Amino acid sequence: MSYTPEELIDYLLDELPSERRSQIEALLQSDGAAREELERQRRLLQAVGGLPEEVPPRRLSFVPMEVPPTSLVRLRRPIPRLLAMAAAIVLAVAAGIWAGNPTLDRHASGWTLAFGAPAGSPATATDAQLRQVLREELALSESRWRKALLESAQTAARADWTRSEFEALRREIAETHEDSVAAFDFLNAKHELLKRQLLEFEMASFEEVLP
Amino acid sequence: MLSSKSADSELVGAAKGGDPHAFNLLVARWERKLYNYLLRSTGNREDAMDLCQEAFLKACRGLPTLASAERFPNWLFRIAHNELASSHRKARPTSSSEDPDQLPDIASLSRSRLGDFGYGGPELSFLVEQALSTLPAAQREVVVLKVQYGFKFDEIAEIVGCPVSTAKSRLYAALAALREALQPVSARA
Repeated sequence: MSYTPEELIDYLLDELPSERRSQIEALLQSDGAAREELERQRRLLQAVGGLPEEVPPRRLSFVPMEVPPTSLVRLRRPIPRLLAMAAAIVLAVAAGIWAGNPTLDRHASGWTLAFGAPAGSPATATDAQLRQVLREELALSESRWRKALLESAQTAARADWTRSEFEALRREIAETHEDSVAAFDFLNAKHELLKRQLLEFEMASFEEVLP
Repeated sequence: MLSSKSADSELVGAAKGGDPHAFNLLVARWERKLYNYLLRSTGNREDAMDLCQEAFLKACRGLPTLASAERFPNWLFRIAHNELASSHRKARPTSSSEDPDQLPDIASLSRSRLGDFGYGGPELSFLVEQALSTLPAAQREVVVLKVQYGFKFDEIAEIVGCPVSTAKSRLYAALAALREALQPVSARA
């Protein structure tokens, strides 16, 4: 039975079909040359597979897009300002409605609120209709206010979180740098020592062979 | 409770559900391997780190499209391979003279120089690293994926986007070249 060098590689990498694997195993029992070739391939694969890995120079970490839950407690500060703005908007809308001779037009797509005296002849809004419009305006305004509040809170939380992550990272980098410098100094000293020893050894060997 | 010992599939499932901690655990698990794969392909630490970051970013965004959580490593390396190819295209917009399936030129690795070195430990690693760096990029990539990270041939074919037979032939050619280059060391050993 014959084999190819590629089959020995596949055998070592566990890529042979089970039947062929058994045949190669049987062959290796009886064929010394095949065993030697297998050993050479194994040494090569071990040398390549055993190459050391480098540590990445930066540590990757991904910031969550959602608000970190622990930061939510710190988000109360923007509320009064936003509340005041929202209230002002609602008041302005209400004042405009009452002062501007409001009228309501009904279309197929819904209601239109208009102010001042229109050129046409829209019906004058009743109190009940105006209350309804105001309620809708208020609901809309409240929804926008909530959205703005949440966005502001998320931004503030994200900023806090990023700042603390940055600080942690900065500390870690500083510590890693110190470790690296110490490791380098140690290895450099060891390297110098080995070089000196090698030189001494070579000099001694040289002197031995001199007549 | 998710931890660094959780299975890839578990972490992928949680990350797909929007858990950033799960994704960061996946990053911590695969970052080193991916970085070293890219480092051996680019030969430049800064480029490798940038590509690594970009690959993880794309993986983060594309995670909802990953159908099978078990295939996360293949999928991640496939993204990294594409990033690498894209960066090569940007660096060399015209054409590449390198034929990925050609026999490597190892003449630059002087045998006499190799013969001057000892063998074993850091020296052997150094020599193997040098020999590896003389291989065409496509062959080197397959060697790293197969011999260092243990991907199966069909997974490698999927990652690098070539037929299984091509992945195999690249590996065999690369190993033959490495063996040739390292022969003086091997003889001394």
